[in-house]
Amino acid sequence: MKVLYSPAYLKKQIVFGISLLIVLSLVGLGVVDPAMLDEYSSLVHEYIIETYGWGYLISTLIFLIFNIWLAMSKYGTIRLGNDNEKPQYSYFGWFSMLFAAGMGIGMIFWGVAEPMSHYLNPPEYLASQSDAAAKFAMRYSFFHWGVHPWAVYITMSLAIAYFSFRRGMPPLISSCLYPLLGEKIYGVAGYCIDILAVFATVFGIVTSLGLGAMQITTGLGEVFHFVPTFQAQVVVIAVVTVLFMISSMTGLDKGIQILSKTNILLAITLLGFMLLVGPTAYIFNVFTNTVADYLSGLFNMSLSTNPFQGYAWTQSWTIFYWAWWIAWSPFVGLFVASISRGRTIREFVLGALLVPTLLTFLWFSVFGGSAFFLELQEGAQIAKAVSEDVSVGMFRLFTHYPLSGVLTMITVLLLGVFFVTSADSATFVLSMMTSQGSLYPPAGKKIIWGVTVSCTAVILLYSGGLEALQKMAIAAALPFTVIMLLMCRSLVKGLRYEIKHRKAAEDNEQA
Amino acid sequence: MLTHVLIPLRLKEQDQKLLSMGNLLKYFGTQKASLVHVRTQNTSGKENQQLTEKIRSYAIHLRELGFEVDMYFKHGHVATEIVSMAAELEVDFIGMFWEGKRFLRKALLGNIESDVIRMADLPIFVYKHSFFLAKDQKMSQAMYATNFQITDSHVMPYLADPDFSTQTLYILHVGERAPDPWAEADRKQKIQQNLARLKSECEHAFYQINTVDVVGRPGPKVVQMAKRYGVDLLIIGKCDEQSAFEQIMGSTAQLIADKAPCSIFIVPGEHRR
Repeated sequence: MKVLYSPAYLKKQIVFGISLLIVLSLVGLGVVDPAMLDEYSSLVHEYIIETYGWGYLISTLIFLIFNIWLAMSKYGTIRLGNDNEKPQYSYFGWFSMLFAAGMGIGMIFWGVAEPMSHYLNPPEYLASQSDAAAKFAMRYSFFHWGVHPWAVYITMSLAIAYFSFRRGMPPLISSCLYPLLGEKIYGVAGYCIDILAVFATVFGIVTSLGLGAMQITTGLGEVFHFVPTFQAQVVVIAVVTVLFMISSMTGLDKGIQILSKTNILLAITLLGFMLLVGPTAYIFNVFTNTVADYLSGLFNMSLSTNPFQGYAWTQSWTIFYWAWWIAWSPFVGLFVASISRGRTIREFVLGALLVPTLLTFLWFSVFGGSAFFLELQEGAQIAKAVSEDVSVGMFRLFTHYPLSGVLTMITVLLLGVFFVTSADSATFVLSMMTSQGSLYPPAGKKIIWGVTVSCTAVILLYSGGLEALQKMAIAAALPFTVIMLLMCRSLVKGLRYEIKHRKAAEDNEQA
Repeated sequence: MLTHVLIPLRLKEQDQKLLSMGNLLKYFGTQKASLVHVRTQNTSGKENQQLTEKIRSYAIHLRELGFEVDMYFKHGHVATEIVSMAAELEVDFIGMFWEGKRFLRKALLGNIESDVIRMADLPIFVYKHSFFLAKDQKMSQAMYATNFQITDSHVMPYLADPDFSTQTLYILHVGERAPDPWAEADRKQKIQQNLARLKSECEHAFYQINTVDVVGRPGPKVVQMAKRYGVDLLIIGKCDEQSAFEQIMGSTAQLIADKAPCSIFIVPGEHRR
């Protein structure tokens, strides 16, 4: 007991204690009075999106330009680790984990649903279900899942990786601000930043787990012909929880890596099958045309707030996504940083920016393109089905293909494994953030966070407070945008200092 | 070292201002002053006579303070003529009054003093006049802002010169914080060693020398520290290598000259001398 209450011990547990308390309090509110939580979170969420939406667009573009500049600059050769260190994971392992943690799960959810949603409900200046709406739908699906989200993740993970692996500081968000805040990162300012990161991560993963459980249940219902109920969703969450806890206990080297590699192989198999069996030429036409649209309109889309027409659409899609990626960035950033040790900044930025984006474009072209082919050429009612229930998009597409049952099962399996990897990496990151950045957090904390996340998802699925929690996570994106902009400044300061001192040391040696 | 000064005049300066500046110049051991007025437009004979009378009255005041004085009139671009006159007369430094301007006026009309600072190869003494302190102008505390780079080798000879003396000298270093606590501790240790080295080089010329090390952006921080310590003179070196940002927005020396609450002594880089 003496150890438990020592001031040093309490100080070490301050982030863990306070963040757990805040999370449980808000979840408690979500259970007792979900309507009130929804009312307040909607108020905050709407105010932020309405007032600062433009800020998200500008900031995200800044992150993208910043990353490209870093990769191309003299800082690009700096290694995220010691000078002679080699990357810990192979390219395949690295890309698999990047993809699994970053957006694998969302792409399965939205691969068909997003293009169809934009096609059916485009901004006011486009006619619904028109050719222009179809083109717009593909272009904006590429845009929302293209280089911008990765730019957000890379900014966060690059700063964390540099300050932890290169400068020897603990892998925490607060560590990245040392050049700006100095010793204050060990005080209230540092604690607030880390608590905010935990807050955003917990609510992000709870929301994903809840919504994902709904989709898995829907998929299983399609195959086994049952109505998805709350009980079925609880069973899905329970199974996922057991799996991710097992994976979490086996550690990063085995658990997540094996699952991620398996998943990426499964995803590529599914992609290949759909490409070959589906309208191949049509899909490649969609891909080529949308890549051209995307590249030529990249800057235009990046800053389009559409204040005159289509403002509501931009708010509910683009700005919502940008806020969501930023809210997710502490989790993905910490995870991606932890798997990127030993890579150079150039390799890291270009690899993480281009490879997942290319795979994403292919994914949307194959699934979105196939859905459009069926919708436009054969009059399939996929868009209508999506408008009624977003989670059924992919499964409705499969009904038009041979082996639809197998395809649905593979997708459910993919979803499940992506969930396990996301939840596993989130548990790892949460434990790390609340253990002063230890890369080997205690198993006890992993269990506490794992159970907290799963129970919260179940409770809020029951009470209906899941969307309110998602809005809370998005609200956290606003302070994080500011923190990330400061991180860019801090990173440049750190890199400039390093280059300057390296040059001075070389000059001294020559002298 | 600083025996001969070139003082550009608008001929609108109050006598008290010139006398206060003259009193401060004595702290540098200055003995000779060359007064110069640059006209930018043609003036009539009557106006010329008035200007000549004015500059003569200034010369009388300075002679009363013990300076040897000569006077010149020039015509053309003000900053260019001042700099070329200084080279022609082989003066040791330029002493000029700082005419503070509001942002918009400065942006539209420019600032002659800033142009002289940018163009000059010589040390420049920028005198900032305070009407409240004019009667007991003194130079008891000076602050040298160093970056331990090439400017040290140009500034230190002046500080080590017994003629150039104040009671107290603060040697200030403003630098960016290192990226991690260990590098920061190392950086601080090196700064302390360098500050101690500079202190030992000019110890004989001052009654008291204090060293100060702070973290921040050099321009604003130097101004802030000058205010905090209430110094009478700020001494800075001017680095000739400017970043693209500095080339557009003005150098740190120009920024300090504009914002500092006290007079400034600016020493330029070597290759221009």
